[in-house]
Amino acid sequence: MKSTINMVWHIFKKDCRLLWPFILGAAGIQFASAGVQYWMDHNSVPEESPLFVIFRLLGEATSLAVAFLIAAAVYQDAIPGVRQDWLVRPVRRRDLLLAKLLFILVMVQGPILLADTIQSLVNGFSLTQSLAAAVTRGLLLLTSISLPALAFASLTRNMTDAVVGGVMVFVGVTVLTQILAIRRALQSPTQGTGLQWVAHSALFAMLLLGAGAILAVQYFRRKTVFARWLTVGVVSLAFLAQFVPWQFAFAVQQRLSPVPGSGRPIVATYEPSLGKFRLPEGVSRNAVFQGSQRGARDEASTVYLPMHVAGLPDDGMLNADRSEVRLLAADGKVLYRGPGDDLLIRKEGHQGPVHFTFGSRNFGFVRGVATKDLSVPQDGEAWIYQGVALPRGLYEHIKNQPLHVEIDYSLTLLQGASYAIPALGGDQRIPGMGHCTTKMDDDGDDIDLQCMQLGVAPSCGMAFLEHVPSGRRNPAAISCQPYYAPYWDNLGRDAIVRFGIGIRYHDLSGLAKYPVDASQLPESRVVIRPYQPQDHFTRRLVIPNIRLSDWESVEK
Amino acid sequence: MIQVNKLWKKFGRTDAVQDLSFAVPEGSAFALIGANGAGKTTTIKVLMNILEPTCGNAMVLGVDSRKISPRELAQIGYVSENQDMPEKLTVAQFLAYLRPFYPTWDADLEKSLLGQLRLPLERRIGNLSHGMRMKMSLACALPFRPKLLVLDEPFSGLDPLVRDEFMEGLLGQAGEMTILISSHELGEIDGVATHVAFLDEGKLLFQESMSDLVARFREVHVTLDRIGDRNGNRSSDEVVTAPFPKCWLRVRTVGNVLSFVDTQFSEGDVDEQLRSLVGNVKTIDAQPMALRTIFTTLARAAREGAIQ
Repeated sequence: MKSTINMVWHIFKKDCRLLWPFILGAAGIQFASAGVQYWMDHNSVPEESPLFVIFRLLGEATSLAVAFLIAAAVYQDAIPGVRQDWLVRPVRRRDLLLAKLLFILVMVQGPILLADTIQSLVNGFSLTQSLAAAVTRGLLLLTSISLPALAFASLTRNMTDAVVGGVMVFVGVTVLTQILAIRRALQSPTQGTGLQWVAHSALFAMLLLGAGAILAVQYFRRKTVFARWLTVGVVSLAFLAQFVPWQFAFAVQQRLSPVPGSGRPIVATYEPSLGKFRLPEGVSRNAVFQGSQRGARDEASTVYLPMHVAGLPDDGMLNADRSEVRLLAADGKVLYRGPGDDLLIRKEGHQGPVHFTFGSRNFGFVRGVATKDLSVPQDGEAWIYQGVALPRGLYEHIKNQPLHVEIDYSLTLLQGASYAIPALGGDQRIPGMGHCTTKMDDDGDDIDLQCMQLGVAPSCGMAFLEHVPSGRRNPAAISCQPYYAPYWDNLGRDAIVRFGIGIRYHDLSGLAKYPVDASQLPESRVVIRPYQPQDHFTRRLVIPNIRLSDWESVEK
Repeated sequence: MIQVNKLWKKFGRTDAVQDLSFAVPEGSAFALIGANGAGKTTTIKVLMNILEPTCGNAMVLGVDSRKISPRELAQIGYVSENQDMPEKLTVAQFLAYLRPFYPTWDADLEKSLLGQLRLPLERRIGNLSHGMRMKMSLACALPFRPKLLVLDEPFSGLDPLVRDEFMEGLLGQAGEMTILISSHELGEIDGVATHVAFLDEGKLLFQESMSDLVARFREVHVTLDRIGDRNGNRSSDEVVTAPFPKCWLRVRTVGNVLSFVDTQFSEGDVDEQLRSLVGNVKTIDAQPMALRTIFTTLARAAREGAIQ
């Protein structure tokens, strides 16, 4: 054991002696990037500023420097080839591999960890928090980037080989991606949903296992040809990891529900008494929204099914992570199977208003609707519509047929908790959101709420301005990008997660008036409500007999 | 010390080494000779477990070459012209790096070798000349007093002065060491090798002790009364191949002198054979041959298909 430690340390020192200019260079780039980030966090930097370009370049340079340094360390004692001196020396393979791992930990990950820790400390986080966040990010970088880079470098003799190999992998993955993009049916089921972390985790696991296998084959067997084929297999599997089936991903998510069973009271029913859906202002029945992945969403062939969702808790939010619609003919033949519109229902307070969204992010079209604007009961329950966009040809063919409709929902219940911060000059810690500040933006029409968090950021958040003496409120600004990862998978530029939201109090065009305006800001506060996932569950809505043409939208 | 059994090594469709078998006795200085591309370096790389054999096996220090561990490598010194060393380290730094890997490293011997080989300790390896590198390689291979020293084309590209220094360094520490040396610089091997194996196009043509080799090879010049066979039918300067024995190579006549290389020389046999084949023999002059001449004779004969 002592001998192993001594020899690992001995090889490590040799690599450091040979690579110290590159070690300093990579660390320098890392610290420069952290410095620029700090400056941008604490100063108002216009988007056209060259600092943004420098920051972006430093980001690219950091990645390149890390990859270069790892590869350079491996090439000091390259595995493929027949000329390396170490091959004829009594160097234990295990010691050599451990020395390279030590180099990555100390000389590659070390400066990153240090920069992350210092950056968190100077931003006001405690040493414990800063270290924990830096170590967590370091582990993630190690497993998802450094170890795969080490494994890849072990397959090549020098930088030229590595660049050629890297280009080959890049071209291979790009070609595969393009082929799959052409066949639209082969999309990642979890992409763009809160469950995308399951695919990410599968990818990380694949990379970690693959890197381990390749390193074992190379360092203990020196079977480069076999290891290269193994790499092709690992890259292919890692690529396929994004296609983890939805049912599996959601089953995993359900098992990880923080408050299992809290969504049990929620019931969704078909409610034809609501009548037809009236499109909100600005949306026409002739509108066609061109999506990036699934063709066009045509309002003329979109139906809105009236629904009643009961059992939503106070200050709760219900997100349909996925809604799969099936239309069946009277003889049971499936005429259509596809996604329903995105559905996000938010309830404020006990009897308070209910909002929902319709449209689909896939088509770049999501709109919020307050149920008070609809002719539905205002009883704190959700009277809403589920949009189903159908291909025009199919819709014209089946719209007058009696159909059986089934919608399978994969749902997440989120619960909000409210916190307040002064509208101007606010600077405080908010649970679940981290260190938050408020200030007036440069245009003078928004309160800019910015938060920095070490750890998992909230999936969804809502904020509104409230005039404290009068209780008047401005419309809420909502930001919701569900992501339910049970661990912190931050592969960003540093250990800090930054997020913000603009809260409008003034319309520069002068058309709209806000209950809380600029003159009331000194007496106002921003009410923030981060939402945290509570339960993941499924519901099936069955409509035994329906004619689609009855549920076309009408314009206002 | 080394036992090679039916060893094959293929690179794609090319057979670099074919059905090779030989043994290196302990304490010997075994020379692996052959022209460029004969398979010498490939054989050595298999022995050192740098390459894996396609089939067959090689035992080195009693261990299958595929299973050579640091324990065996700590007893093997290796010097090759095809050895990449860390160019940014100085000679002193590299020696300091190597020391802890070898439990038997002798610092005094290292010092003495450095002095003998006149190596610049503070110069980076990347800045050393080829000759200096080879000497440094030797200086790295000897201080741990290896049981086996493997030298792969050590003299290639060295000027005579450096060769001398190299040889002095080598011979000064040879002692009980077994040496396997591959080379086509036969002049250097001649005084060193105790055994020799001859490789041609991946095949072993023969292996034997140097004394046996030198004893059985003779360059023979026969002066005849007149050129021709016993019946007087042949009388020209043409190269004569038959009906002489196959062990006679490069048989030729110049004037009334018949010359050839006898690969199975025996004083009485040659006399008897000559008299029965050509009859009218005046004098027979059989001279011992240098290794270099033996090598070139065999190489030519192999290419001409005179020997298999």
